[in-house]
Amino acid sequence: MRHGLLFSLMLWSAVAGITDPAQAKPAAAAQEVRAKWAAATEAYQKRDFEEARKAYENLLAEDVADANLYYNLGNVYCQLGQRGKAAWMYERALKAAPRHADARRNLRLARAGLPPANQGTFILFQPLAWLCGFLTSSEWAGLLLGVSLATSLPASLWILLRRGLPRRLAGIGAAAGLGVSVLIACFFAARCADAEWRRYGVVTESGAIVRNAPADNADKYFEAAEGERYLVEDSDLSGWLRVTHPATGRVGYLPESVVGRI
Amino acid sequence: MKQAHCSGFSASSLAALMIAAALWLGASGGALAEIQVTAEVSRDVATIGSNLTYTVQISSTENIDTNLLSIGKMPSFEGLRLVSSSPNVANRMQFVNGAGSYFCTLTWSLVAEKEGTATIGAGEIRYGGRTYPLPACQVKVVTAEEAGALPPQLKDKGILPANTDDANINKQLEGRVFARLLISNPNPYLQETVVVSCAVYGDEMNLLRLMMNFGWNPPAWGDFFVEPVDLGSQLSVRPVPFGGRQYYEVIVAQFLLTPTKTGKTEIPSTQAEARVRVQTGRRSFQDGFDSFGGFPDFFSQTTIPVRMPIKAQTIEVKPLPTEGRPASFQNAVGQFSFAGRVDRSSMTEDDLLTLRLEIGGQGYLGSIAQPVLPDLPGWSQVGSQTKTEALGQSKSQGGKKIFEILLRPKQAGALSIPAIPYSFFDPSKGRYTEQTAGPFNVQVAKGKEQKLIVAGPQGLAAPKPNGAQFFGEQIAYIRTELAGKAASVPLYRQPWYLPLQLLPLILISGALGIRARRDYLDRHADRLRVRGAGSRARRELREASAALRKQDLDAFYQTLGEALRGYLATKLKRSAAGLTLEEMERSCLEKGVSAEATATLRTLLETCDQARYVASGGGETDAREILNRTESLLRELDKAGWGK
Repeated sequence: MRHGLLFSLMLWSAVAGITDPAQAKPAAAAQEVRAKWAAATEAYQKRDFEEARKAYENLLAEDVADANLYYNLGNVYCQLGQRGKAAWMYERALKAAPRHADARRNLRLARAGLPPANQGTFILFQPLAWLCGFLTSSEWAGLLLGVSLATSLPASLWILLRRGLPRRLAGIGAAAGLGVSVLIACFFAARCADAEWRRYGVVTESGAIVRNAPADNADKYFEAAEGERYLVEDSDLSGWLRVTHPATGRVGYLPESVVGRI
Repeated sequence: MKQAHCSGFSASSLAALMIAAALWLGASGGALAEIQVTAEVSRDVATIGSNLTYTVQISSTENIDTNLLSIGKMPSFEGLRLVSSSPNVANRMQFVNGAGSYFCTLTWSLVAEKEGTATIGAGEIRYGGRTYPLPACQVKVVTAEEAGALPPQLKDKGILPANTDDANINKQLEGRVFARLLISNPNPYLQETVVVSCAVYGDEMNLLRLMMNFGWNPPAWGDFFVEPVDLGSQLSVRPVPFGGRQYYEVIVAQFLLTPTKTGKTEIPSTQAEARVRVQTGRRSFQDGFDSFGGFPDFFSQTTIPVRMPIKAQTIEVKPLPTEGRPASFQNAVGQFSFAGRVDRSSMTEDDLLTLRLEIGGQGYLGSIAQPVLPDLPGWSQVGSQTKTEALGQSKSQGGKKIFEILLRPKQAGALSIPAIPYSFFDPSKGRYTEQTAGPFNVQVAKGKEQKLIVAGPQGLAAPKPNGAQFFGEQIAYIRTELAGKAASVPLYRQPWYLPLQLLPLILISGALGIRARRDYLDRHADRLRVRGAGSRARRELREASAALRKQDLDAFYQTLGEALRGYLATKLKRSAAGLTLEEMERSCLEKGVSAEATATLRTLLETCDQARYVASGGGETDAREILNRTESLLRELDKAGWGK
């Protein structure tokens, strides 16, 4: 009984997987974070966007990783007319909280006039890609764990029961659970691969030039649009990034200083 | 081409011929039709080692009987080598104006051997007893170096000869196929766009039709902003005169180069490539077409790569002149126009003013930078955005660049934005032009000092655009609370995640194990029961022993008898109730139990029965001995096979 309770607690904490960063810190530090947060919000309300930017950036420098912090800072950049940086922050907010509707909406505004980020995706894969990005990798992991545990029960019953309606129902439940588990595992793997191995960056400055080689005097390839998202292939190039345009597949080099890493 | 028509006859000879023909007709009873004979060599000038052909064509209005045809005198070939002494003979018929014409061609393949003038001497053809002369002709043979493998007019223009892996085809392509780089302006100004094209030329349309998969690897461009031009999937062919001859031109690739540095830049030598169709076995690209000039026979063709080298060229980029350069010049090069406007003439202190500056026209859009604003007293700049609208297919050449600058008034009152100058260099005129936008006057009313709306922790319905010019006015509101949804380590990286994820597998494996064990027991129940008979009997013996210790002899004998009967019934796979002593005895003997043990068994069972039904059948000592004997008997019985 005691073991069951312990297991349930572990499972709950696993599925929840969420801790308030402000709460996770010591109480004094959390209070300080909240005070800075309130000051930044106040500055924003008073239209003192420069002050608000500094305050939010300070919080960012203190390793406060929070979707709303990225989102608010994105809004500040919007107000300052810095589309690229705004898009970068909205991307970060969406990475932390994929269902942040406001961040998604503002990102669309910041990227107005640019081709959609999923332009290179085959049209039939687009709903799958959307579904995959609907949850974070942690959420997919929790869901996979929950569903596979829930599936194991009817599966075990189906194995143990000899015949009759209960066994049939357990079989249906196990088959359905198995199918859902496989589906979730696929989404989890795709999301995990995206989170772990694929690195994206957003062009934060206007007029950034993609070059054919990682050097200032290399051939100019094309001009990268501000706020556009690129796949970062290689970042170990002393101040340069090897990037791929997701829609066109064009590969070139951008200075690290004009790319915000998501 | 040298041709000799041998159909002319004088009137006297014609009369004599007619008389002779009449006599001959009278003698032979038939007449041969008149024929015409022509002779030609495939080219006037050939390089040493190149192939050429000498063709004699006989034509007639009636069928030509090749059996009557012979070579009266073989022409001499000085400076040329005959590939084969016997000619290729081919017949064909052609209808002209409803009347048929018959042709017979004799073709000799030759190879030019010596430099100088090669001569094909006079010869004779005989047909039906008549002789037809073949005139002499000459071919100029030159070395490859002398020709530069190209006609001199192309060589002068720096054209390099095309080449393949087949020497024979190389000779056939001499001066007929080549590539060159077309540069629209080799001496541009800095930031003035140059169109560079790779063009392939062929002297016949058919030749270009035989070629496919045109390609060109462009060189490293160096100090240019480069934009490739999409030429579409269908390359267009156009006739162009070049080097005094008519050629057909195909643009294979095109780039727009905008110089970013002054000085000389060499575009290194490159090569264009294509594949040409040739007939397998014949190694002649011209054989790709049939003799009627129609489509080639695709079933017996192969393709070989043709390389067309392109010589290096130089682009010299001129610096922009310093003379007459306005202070507002920001390196824009092209034919542009500059205009500006503000989105409102009156506003409140809380509003934003959008100053829109447009620079458009022809030229490199990348050279257009945001105009530098003069001092704006009473205004603060809060942001800007840039839009580029390309005019045509090119994204960098021609179009419009729009700068939207967001200004917030610092105070109420009549505010002004001074005139904004912008200048550009027009390379076609070679001079600078300056234009201005403004000044703009705006009336600013007192604002309400309204705070920006915030959404609270969960968000709020986003504002509608409501004609807002700046995207900052359309965005959803900020949040007032931290989301608290950012776990630093992903769930799947927690140390306990994987073991927990294995739990379902462990559960299912456990269930499978239980099921397997159960199935095994089900399948082997009989065998297991037989195997467990001894242990069950011994357990009952222990119970009997316990009864004996309690001096309950009835129970002792009963248990002992049941143990023995149960043992035997299990081993014999029979019911204990219906098993008689005789059957037991017989079965034991059949199963290989010794006679002595069988007798002991019978004795013991009878003893048990008697003890149960006859009062005080024996004492405790007897009972102990019976128990010992039973145990010995069980050991003896265990040794029997029992049908294994």
